[in-house]
Amino acid sequence: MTLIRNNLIIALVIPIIALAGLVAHKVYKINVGQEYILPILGFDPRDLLSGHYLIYRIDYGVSGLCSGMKYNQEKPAYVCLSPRSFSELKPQHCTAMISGHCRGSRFNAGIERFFVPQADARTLERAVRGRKGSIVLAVNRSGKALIKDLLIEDQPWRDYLSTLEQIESKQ
Amino acid sequence: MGDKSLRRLKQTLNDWANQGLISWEQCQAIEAYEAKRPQVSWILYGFMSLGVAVLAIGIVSLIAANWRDIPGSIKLSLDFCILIALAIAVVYAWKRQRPMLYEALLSLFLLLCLASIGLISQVFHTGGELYMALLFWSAITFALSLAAQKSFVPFLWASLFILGFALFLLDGKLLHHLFYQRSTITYLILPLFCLLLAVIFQYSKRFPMHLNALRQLSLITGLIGLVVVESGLYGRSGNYHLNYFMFSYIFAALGLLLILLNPHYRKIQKWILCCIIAIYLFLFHLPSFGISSDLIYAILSVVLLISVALYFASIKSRKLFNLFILLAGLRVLIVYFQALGGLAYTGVGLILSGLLILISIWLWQRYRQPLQNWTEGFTA
Repeated sequence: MTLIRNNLIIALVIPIIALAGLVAHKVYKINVGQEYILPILGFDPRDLLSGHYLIYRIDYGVSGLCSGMKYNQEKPAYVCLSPRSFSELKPQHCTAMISGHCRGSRFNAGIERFFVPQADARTLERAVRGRKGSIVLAVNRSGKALIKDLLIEDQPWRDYLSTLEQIESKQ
Repeated sequence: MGDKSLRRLKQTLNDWANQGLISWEQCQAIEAYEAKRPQVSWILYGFMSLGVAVLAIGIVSLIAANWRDIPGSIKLSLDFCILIALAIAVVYAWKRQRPMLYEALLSLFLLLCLASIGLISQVFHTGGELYMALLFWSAITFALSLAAQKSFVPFLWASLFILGFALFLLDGKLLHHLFYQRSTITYLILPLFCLLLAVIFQYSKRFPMHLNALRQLSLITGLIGLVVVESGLYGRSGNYHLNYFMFSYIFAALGLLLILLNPHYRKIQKWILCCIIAIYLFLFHLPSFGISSDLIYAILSVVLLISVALYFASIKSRKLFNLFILLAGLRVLIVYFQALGGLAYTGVGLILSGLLILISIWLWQRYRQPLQNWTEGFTA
């Protein structure tokens, strides 16, 4: 009886610890990574589990990104942020890089979506389409990047929406 | 146990006691034990499962709404508080021996774990695919799914795991080059994968509900695959490279090997299962051989359905045997509609079909018992 109870408790604790570990891992990566701000362009689809998100292209300021027929099939690629360059091999003299892969003509690094509240999805989408958006990234040494925040007109998106609401209420 | 079942059990026990098979003391002890056991109505259990599923979808929807005014850290803290409270409630329900409450809370906890993965993905804006969330969820909740006492939780776990696996085949980077052009090949792989897992679970003999869930899923995915290949969604022509079939060959070979080595199966059952797997594989290979005739597809489908029916007869599962015989009969009927054209021909075809069905029913009524005895008996 005690053994069954203990097994049940262990089975219940496993997912809680795993989920907490996942959160801790993300928090660690965000805090340790070097911060970069890059401009974006995008639109708004939705995810079954997590709701609405903006999907965008990041303007890395690099020429020849994933260009050519060889990227019809997915291939690993790297963008060096300092100095700015693109390569298929891990760059040697690069102080900060983002690792990802080319599929077609797109470079994907797993940072191309930003979840937004359903009520504000349209407003933010319009702002991003109007080239007012940029993304704050935390990039670690191995090239893995995580999103820290979305900026609209150089201010956090929450502040931007609040300012917009204040202007609308005054009018 | 319900009043009706209890009355039926009492009658059976009295009969056994009268025949001297068990003593009157044993008879009374069994009756007292069954009367004391907590009663769980299967109707209530069904509604409970529905309620839990709707509640969980509601939670996911609330999370998906992603309210601006609540910071991510508060959302995550609240989520973990609910998870911990639910975990404590699960242990409480188990200790107090409340089977319905225990199953409901366990199901809710499992679904909340999935919703939590969605919430983490939302808060940290991770660009992961749905299959990653499903496979991660399957891994962290597998041990918990073994603690279920009813079939809903194992079925839920197995279904979401298989869905995760299917999406992994289609969207995963590892196999994208194999499946992005021939996504319908997944319908061939899934039942074979379910069957392989079911055979593995059968070896352990400790997880009968997972075994049942995987058996049911192999039947469901197999029937879906049959509809896909018969309806032409899979395609009746084209060049299917051998690489596309690689996983189906591996799963089929491993499944067959484990079936042949498993002493649980009788010799004839092994043969029937080999036939089922071979026919199912062959159906998906027909376009590679340039065969597009409806009649050949129909004949293979009918043989496959009858083989499955014979397997169920050999394990004395009469309901499933009858179901697959009925499906085979329906497929034969559809052959008429495919083969004949024009009202007159269709009329003749329908009359013939009607007569065929009536004769089949008469033959079935007359020879059902000997036939069932034969299929059950020739395995002994």
